[in-house]
Amino acid sequence: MAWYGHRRSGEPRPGARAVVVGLGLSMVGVLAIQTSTAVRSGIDASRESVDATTASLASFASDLSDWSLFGFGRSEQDRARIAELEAQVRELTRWKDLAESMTLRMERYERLLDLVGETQGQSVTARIVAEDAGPFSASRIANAGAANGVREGFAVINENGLVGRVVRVGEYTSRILMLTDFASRIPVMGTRSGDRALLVGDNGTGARLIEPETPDKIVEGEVWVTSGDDGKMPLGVRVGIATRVGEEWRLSLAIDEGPVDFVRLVPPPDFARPEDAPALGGVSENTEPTLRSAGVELAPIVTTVPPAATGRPASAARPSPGGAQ
Amino acid sequence: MTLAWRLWVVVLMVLAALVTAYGMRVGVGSAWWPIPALWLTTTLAAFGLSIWASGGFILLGLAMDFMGEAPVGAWPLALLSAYAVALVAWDRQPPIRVISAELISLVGGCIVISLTLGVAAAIAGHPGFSRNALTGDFIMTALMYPVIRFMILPASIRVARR
Repeated sequence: MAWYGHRRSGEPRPGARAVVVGLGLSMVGVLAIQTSTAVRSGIDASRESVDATTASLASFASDLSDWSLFGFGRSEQDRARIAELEAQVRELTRWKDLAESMTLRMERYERLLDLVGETQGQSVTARIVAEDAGPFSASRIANAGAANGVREGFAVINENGLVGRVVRVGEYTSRILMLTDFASRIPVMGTRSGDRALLVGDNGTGARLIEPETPDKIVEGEVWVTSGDDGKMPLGVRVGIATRVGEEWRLSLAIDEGPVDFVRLVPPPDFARPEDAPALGGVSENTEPTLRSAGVELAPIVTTVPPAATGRPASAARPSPGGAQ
Repeated sequence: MTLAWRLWVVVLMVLAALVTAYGMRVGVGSAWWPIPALWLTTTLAAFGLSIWASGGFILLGLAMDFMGEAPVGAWPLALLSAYAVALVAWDRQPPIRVISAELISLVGGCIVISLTLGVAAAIAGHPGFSRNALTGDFIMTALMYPVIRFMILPASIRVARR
């Protein structure tokens, strides 16, 4: 008797076959019910917790291989890396000081000009712990989640430019949809042409511009940035460089210029919705029915002009245009 | 199937999940990475039809669905289909040679996985499916198979299938 079984291979097993076929059919059923939004949202909730497990698994497997394959002789490399990073920190500190002083000056200029700037919430810096470039999605998992203040819809930026946006948030992890994913849609604009378009992902191979307003004005090699038209992305984040491929325009993405390891998760610009804005002091709500219906159904408003002033009877007076007086 | 074989199947499934997860670490995710589940569908079919292995493929497939953002059920269905193709190939051995059965299982598995995932994406209404992303993974799976088979298949497959 072999260690793997008692049965001769090739024996007909109709019961087992039926079970396996049944399992396959049940999977088809599971796939079919996912067309329902309610079911999909339920699955998304479970994916949140699985993202954390995936990140842990990837990290565990990575640690395992680091320990078993490359565990020896790395200290010299590590020391060199640490020295390099320390030099970078010193350089960045100088830039940080410069940026802070420029921010202060810009705030003063904005106040002087009475310019309404974009208010930006607190961003979170995170490390990418897992990446997925499979047939179904192009995404990454970062090691910051709801507990760190990350929310769905945050823009994800690294030193080169826009990486994507947060589509799902777990407690300590968040799933980032890359610009190259099929489902990615980002409003962008050219810095020279001023043209606006929608950047659509091509799953791993790049991203293309669709619906450009004035495609003739787009310049080859022009830098494209986020336009912020959706109110979710900050304005002016570098996205890529325009390249023409056949009849369509594509962007050579900024994220391809280097590894995506550390990222900044940036909240959407904090615009208050008009209905949420506080009431203006001293101005009461307009309850005049004729004015509220203006533009939809113009009520004939008769101006009361003394007959003596026009030389005509008062009934001949015409309604004022647009109902305004 | 014996308890030892079942435990071996569980160990293989866990290892396959770990290898898949390892392929998701930073810097590797975009590179070609083998699909260990395809090695298992090819080799475990040599032992004949097993509900235990089928259940294992469902669980492994579900893990792959969640890791890869695939519609739930896509990978289980694809792995079961690849397993079915491999079973048919191994059922023809003999008269066909072992290497032929393995080749048919592996290449047939790649084709059927690619097709099934596309169909699954269509059924579940997934917005996009990129078959190109799988091509490199299939090539890596096939290239590494000659080494991996010695770890999974018994020393003499002819004895194993007697």
